[in-house]
Amino acid sequence: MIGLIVTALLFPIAGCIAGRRALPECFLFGVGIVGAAMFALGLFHVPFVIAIVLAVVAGLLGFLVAGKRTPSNPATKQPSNLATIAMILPLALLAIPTAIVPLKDFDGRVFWLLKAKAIANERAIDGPFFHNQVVDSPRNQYPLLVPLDAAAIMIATGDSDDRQVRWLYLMTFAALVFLVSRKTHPWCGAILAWTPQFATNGDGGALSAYSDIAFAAFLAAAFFELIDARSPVRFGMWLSFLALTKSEGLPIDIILISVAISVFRARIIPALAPPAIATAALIAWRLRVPMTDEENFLAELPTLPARLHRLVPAILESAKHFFSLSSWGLLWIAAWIAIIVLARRKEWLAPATVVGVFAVYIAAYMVTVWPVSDLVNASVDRLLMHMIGPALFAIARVTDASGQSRYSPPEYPPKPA
Amino acid sequence: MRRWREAIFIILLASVVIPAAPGLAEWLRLAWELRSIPMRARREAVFGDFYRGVEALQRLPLSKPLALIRVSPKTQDQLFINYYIYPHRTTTYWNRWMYATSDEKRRPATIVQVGDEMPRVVSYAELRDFEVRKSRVLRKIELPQQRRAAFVIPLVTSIDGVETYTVEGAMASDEEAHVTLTMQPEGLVKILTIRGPVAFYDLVYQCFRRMQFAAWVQVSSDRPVRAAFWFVNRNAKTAAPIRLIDAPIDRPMPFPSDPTAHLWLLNLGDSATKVRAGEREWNLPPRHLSMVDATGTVTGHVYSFLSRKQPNGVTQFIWPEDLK
Repeated sequence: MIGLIVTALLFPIAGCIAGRRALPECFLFGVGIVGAAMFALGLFHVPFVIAIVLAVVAGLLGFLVAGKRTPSNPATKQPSNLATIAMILPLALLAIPTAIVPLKDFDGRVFWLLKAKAIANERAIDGPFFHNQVVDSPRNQYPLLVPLDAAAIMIATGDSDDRQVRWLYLMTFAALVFLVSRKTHPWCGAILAWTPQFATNGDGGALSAYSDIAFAAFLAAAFFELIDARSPVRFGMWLSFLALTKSEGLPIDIILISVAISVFRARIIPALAPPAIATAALIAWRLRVPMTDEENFLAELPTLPARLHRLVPAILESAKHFFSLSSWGLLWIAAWIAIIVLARRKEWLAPATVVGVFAVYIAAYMVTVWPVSDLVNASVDRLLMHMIGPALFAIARVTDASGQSRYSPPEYPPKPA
Repeated sequence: MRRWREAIFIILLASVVIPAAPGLAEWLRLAWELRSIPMRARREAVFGDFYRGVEALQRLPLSKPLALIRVSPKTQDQLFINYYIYPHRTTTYWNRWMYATSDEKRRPATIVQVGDEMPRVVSYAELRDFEVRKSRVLRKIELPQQRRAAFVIPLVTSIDGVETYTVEGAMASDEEAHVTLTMQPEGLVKILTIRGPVAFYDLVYQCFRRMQFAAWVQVSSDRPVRAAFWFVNRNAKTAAPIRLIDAPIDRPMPFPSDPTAHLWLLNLGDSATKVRAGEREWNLPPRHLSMVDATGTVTGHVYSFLSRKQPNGVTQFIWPEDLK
C-alpha cells in the first residue's frame, strides 16, 4: 500500500517539472526525470535522497510556476464512454493481481529488480554490486533508469521487497494507455489496454517488472511530441529517457532525431542536448563498471556486411509475430496496413519511425551470433511493444476521420470534413 | 463512413480482448486463490519447493558467503536465488568442477546445491553424490557364479582429483543375507540386508557417507553372496574389474619395476608386518593399505597388486594371481 501511494505521488509530482500537463504525461515524465536525475547525480555520488527531493521540489516548482495546462484539442475530448470503460476495465482488473500475485517473471527479477535492490541497498550506481563483488551481476551495463525508479520507491518505503514496486509497472502501462487514448483515439487506448502482450503476458507485460513498457511509453511520448511539434526540448528529454532505459535507446534516438529534423528543422538543436548529456553520462558510467554477459552490439556492428545473409530470415521470423493473434490480435496487421496507407499519402512521420525502429532491431538480429529464429522468438514481441505509440497513431490516423483534426502542424494539417 | 470506422475499432478491440481474456482470468483466479495468505506463503504457493529452499537460505548469516553450484546444466535457479537472498554474497559456479578447481582460499566454504531440486546447503560430498548417483559407467553387471561368505575388496575409492573415481559393483543373494562391510583401516561398518541383487554406483559413499582416496573393505555375510566390483573412472567412462581376495599371498610376487605404475601393499592382519619390494623395505601398520613406487618383486605377509593408468584413462591392474 505504501508503495502504491509513493508511486502515485512521487512520479506525477516530479513530472510537473515540464509544466502542467495531463496526468499520464506528468507520470511518465516523472518516471523519466526521477530515474535520470538519480543516474546523473549518482555519477557524482550525490545521495539518492537528495536527487529524489530535488526532482520533487523541481516538479512542485514547475507546477506552481508554469501556467495553467494547455487545453487539449477539443477533438480529443469527444465523449466516448464505451471506449473509456473498455480502457479502464482491464487496468482495474490488472490492479488485483498486481496487489496480490508475487512477481514471477524472468528478466524483471533476474536483471532489473535485482539492480534496483542493489541500488537501494548500496545507495550507489557503481558500488560493490556493479563490480560483481556481491553476486554475479548479469547484464551489468544495462541502463538503469527504471531500476533507479524502483530503487527510489524502495528507498521511500524503506522496503526492498518487490511488492512495493509492482505499481510502478502497472501505472506506467496505465499512463501509456491514457497517453495513447488522448493523443490518438479513445478506442486505441482501449485496444492497447487489452492487448495481451501488454496486459497479460508474464514476460514484458504490466504484471512483470521489465523495462519495455516504460521504453514504449517514452518512445510514444517522443513521437507525440513530434506530432505536436511544439517543444524540441521536451522531445529531447524523452530521447534522453530512452537512452537511459534500454541499450537500444541510443540507436532509436538517432532514428527519432533523423525523423525529427523534418519536423523541427533549425529548432532541432535544443533537442539534441538532453540525449547528448544522457549518452555522455551513460558512457561515463559504463567506463566505471565492468561488462558481464551483455551483448556488445556496437562492437559487432562492423560485422553487419558479412551477415547480410541473415537479413531475410530476420525479417521473415519477425514478420511472423505480426500475425501472432494470441499476443497482438489484429493490431499489427492493421498497423502495417495503416502505415502503408500513410506512406502512400506521403505522411511520413509514423511510417519512418516504425520502419526505422524496426530496422534497428533487424540489424541487431543480424549482427549477433545467435540463431535468428531463437533470438527473434525470445525478444521480438517485446520489441514490437516499443513501437506501439506510432503504430496506434497510424491506425487512428487512417481510420478515424475526426482524428485528423487532432494533429496540427506541420505534417498533419486538419482536413476539411 | 463513420460507423464503418467505428466497426474497425470494435473488430480490433475484439481481436485483442478474445486472446487476453483467458490470461486475465488466469491472473485473477490466481489472485483469488492467494488473497488471504501473506506474501511469503503466496511465493511458496507459486514457486513451490524452490522458494522454501530460498527461505532457508535467507536465514543463513549474511557474513557467510555462499557458493551456488549448479547440478543441472539447464537450470537458471542461481539467478533467482541471487534475487531473493540479496544482499547475501554469492559466487556462482557453473558446475561442481569449476568449484573443485577454484582457489580453495578464496572460494566460499558454504555450498548451495542449485537445480533439479530445491536449493539447499550441502557438503561437497553430498553435492558430488547428487551428481554421481544419476548415472553409472557400468550398464549391465554380470555377477560370477561363485558364492562367498567372506572376502576382501582390496582397493576402494571415492575421490575427485583431475577425474572422478568411484567403485561400482553389485552383490546378490537368493535368500535374505545380512552382509557386513567394514572399511579399513578406520573400521567403519555398514550392515546391509540383501535379498536379490543390490547395485552400487559409488560403494564407499553409499555405504560409509564419505569421500576416501584409497581404502579396502572386508565383507562378511551370514549367507554366501555373489559379488563383483569395478574401479571406475567416471570422466573417461572406463571400468576395471577388482579382484576379490581371501588372504595374503606369502610367496614372492614378481611385479615388474615400472616408474609409471603404483604398487599397492595391503596388510590384512591385525599386527604390523614387514614387506619388501625390490631393494626397498617397509613396516606396514595393521590393516593398512599403502601405495608405493613399483620397484620390483614383493615379499612379505601381505597382498599386493600393481596399478597403472593408461593414456585413455583406463586403470590397468596387475594382480599377483596373474603373475607367472
